[in-house]
Amino acid sequence: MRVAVLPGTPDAAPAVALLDAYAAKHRARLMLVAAHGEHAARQLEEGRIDALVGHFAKASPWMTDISLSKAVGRREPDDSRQPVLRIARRNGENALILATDRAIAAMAQ
Amino acid sequence: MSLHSGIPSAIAADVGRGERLEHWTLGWMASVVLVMWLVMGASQAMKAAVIEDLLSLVPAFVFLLSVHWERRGPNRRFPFGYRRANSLAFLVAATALLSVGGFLAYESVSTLIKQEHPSVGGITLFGHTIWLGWLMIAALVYSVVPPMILGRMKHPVAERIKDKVLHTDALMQKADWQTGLAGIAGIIGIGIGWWWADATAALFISLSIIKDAVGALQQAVAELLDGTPRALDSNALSDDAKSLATTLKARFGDVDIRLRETGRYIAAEVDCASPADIPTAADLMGDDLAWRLASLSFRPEPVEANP
Repeated sequence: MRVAVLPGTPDAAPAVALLDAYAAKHRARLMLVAAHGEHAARQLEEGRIDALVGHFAKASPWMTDISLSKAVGRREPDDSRQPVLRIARRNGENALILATDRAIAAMAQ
Repeated sequence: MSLHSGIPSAIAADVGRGERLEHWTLGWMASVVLVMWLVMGASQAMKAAVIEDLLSLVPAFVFLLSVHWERRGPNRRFPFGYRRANSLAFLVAATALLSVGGFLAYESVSTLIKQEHPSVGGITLFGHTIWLGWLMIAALVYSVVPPMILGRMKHPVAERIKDKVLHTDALMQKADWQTGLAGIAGIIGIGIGWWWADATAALFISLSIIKDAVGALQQAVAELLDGTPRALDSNALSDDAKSLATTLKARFGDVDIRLRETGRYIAAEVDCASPADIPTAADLMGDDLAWRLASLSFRPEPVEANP
């Protein structure tokens, strides 16, 4: 499973651990890929990576092109423009989207 | 009721029933829009369904407006009353139906061409994270039931009061429940990985909606251009208009007869001298449909059209 962590995401560990657990459950191995900025979002859109970990606002301009998770490890900020740690998934990858949504909700509880 | 205004007593109860059905439609469909909006998430297909449901309120609204105007009496500015408001409402309703069909077709084709893969994730309710698709399906099932029932109830009323707006609204309700079923198929398709299922089903349904809408538009334009009265569900001449023309020819010989429709009413013009014994509407249309003949004129000296 190819995952990119955006530069400047010092708190990425819980999101990466969550994806690592998902990969392990499906007998896959997590592979970190170097990607940055808009290149990373484009790679996710094109399916060259499976998930992207970084800080995104709820009202991100990318929200229609990729599927952003809820905030990881913290509650959703009141300001929809405040970037927080999220996992971006490729649109249409609904099994991964639902599984990570469930894991993030479980983590919040 | 006067010649140019008011609802004939023969159909007053049915028109009232039509109004009640449309009030129910506005209430139920508003609740459908609200429920769909609450669960639509980021799904473009659900957004399209919400927009389509909003547009589907137009025929119900214009029906109520046109009946309200039909009851108003003539005045100096509108000496022939407002009965033609029904014809105008019919054009608006037919255009709304065409808009729904066109919008659905555009959304479907654009989704298929761009190969958009819709994302449907989870939602946490009462501590449990469930697939949002289940909520969407529940909302779509809810969206199917009211239009299916109301549409079937409107058809016979529209037939009895010869109301093309109400008939077009029944077609709109058919479009609503068919789109809802396509949406359910689409969400199930997304669940099993068939991203194209929703758009393909919606495309086929949109073609059927467009076909109904084009037929309704042809009728609406014919009515506004003083065409011979059309049947409720096609662009063919209506049976009662054909029967009236036959009866008039039998009475007055082989003369020119022109029939046109103003809303739900027929106006007849016969090219002959006014007879001493003018037949009543019941003589010409029968007791049940006598209300439909609003006027009968005789023109002893037909005016030559300018070359």
